Amino acid sequence: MLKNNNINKTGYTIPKGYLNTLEKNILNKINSVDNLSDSSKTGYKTPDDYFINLEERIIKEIRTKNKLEKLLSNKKIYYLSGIAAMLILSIFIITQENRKNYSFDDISNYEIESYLNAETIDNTNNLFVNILNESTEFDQLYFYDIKNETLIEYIESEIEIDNYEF
Amino acid sequence: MTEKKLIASLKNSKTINLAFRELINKYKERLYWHIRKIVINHDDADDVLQNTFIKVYRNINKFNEQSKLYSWMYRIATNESLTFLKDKAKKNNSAPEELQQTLLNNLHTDDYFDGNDAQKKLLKAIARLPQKQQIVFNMKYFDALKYKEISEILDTSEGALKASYHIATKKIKEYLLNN
Repeated sequence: MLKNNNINKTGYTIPKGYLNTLEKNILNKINSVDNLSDSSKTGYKTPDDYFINLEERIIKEIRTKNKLEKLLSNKKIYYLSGIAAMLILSIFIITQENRKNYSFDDISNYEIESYLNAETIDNTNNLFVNILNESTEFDQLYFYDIKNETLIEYIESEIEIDNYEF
Repeated sequence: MTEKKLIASLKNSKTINLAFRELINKYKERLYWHIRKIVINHDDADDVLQNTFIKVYRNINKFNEQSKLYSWMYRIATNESLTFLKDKAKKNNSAPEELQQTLLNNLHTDDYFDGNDAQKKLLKAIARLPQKQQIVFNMKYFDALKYKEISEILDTSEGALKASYHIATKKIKEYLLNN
């Protein structure tokens, strides 16, 4: 009755069931405060103001770890890209080396001599015989009828006779 | 902020930072003391507490809300503390319980301990218990948690917890009487 009168006089209201749960809420609060001051039970202490800046330190730590992980994952990508590039380059170089056409100039005289020495004489002779047999223009090349006038003319124009002693 | 609203804010990338600050403020002390009782040393407790909150931050989206938020956080804190203790003991070639005994024997040199002999004796008696019994005893005796809450945190039946607490109390009494 008194409660209703008070409400009527002041106009203040309270949430539904507030007074019914008030006792329980206060006891819970007391228990929770007791639990927080754990040092009185165990004797353990913390540095002064430890809990005051704890929140800042934890958030800072999370940010640092996140940045570090981001950096590491970026580094990982760089390393993988580097390895992939090296592999592609190696494959390219190997392929190019295999495809390269060697000219006759690339072979040194020593290599040619070594090859000829290693081959048997019979084989070499056979090779030349085959070449000569296969050449159809051989006769035309070597038994060409050269006129004397033409030969003299060629000698006079191409060879400096003064250089030779007779 | 109600727990439901807090969880929703934590799961939202736009509001997580603000909500996380609130979460730390709300639970930092409770979790610190829970961890401290397991790892004993303040610096170690600080490391484990930070790791606990970092894990909470990173895994909040995996929290399925089957249990209360603080039960989930307590579970993370317990696991982090036990793992930390196990790793530290391994480095010293000893069992976690042995390490705890060593740390408790050196409490007189700890700047962050000002307990009396009776408190020291009680802590030593607790450290002689198997790990799980220690945690159950700490949660019931020091943190005054209900069996239902401990059951949620440790994922153990209330019956098993009651038995565990009963055995732990008996062992502690025996130790205190004989030492």
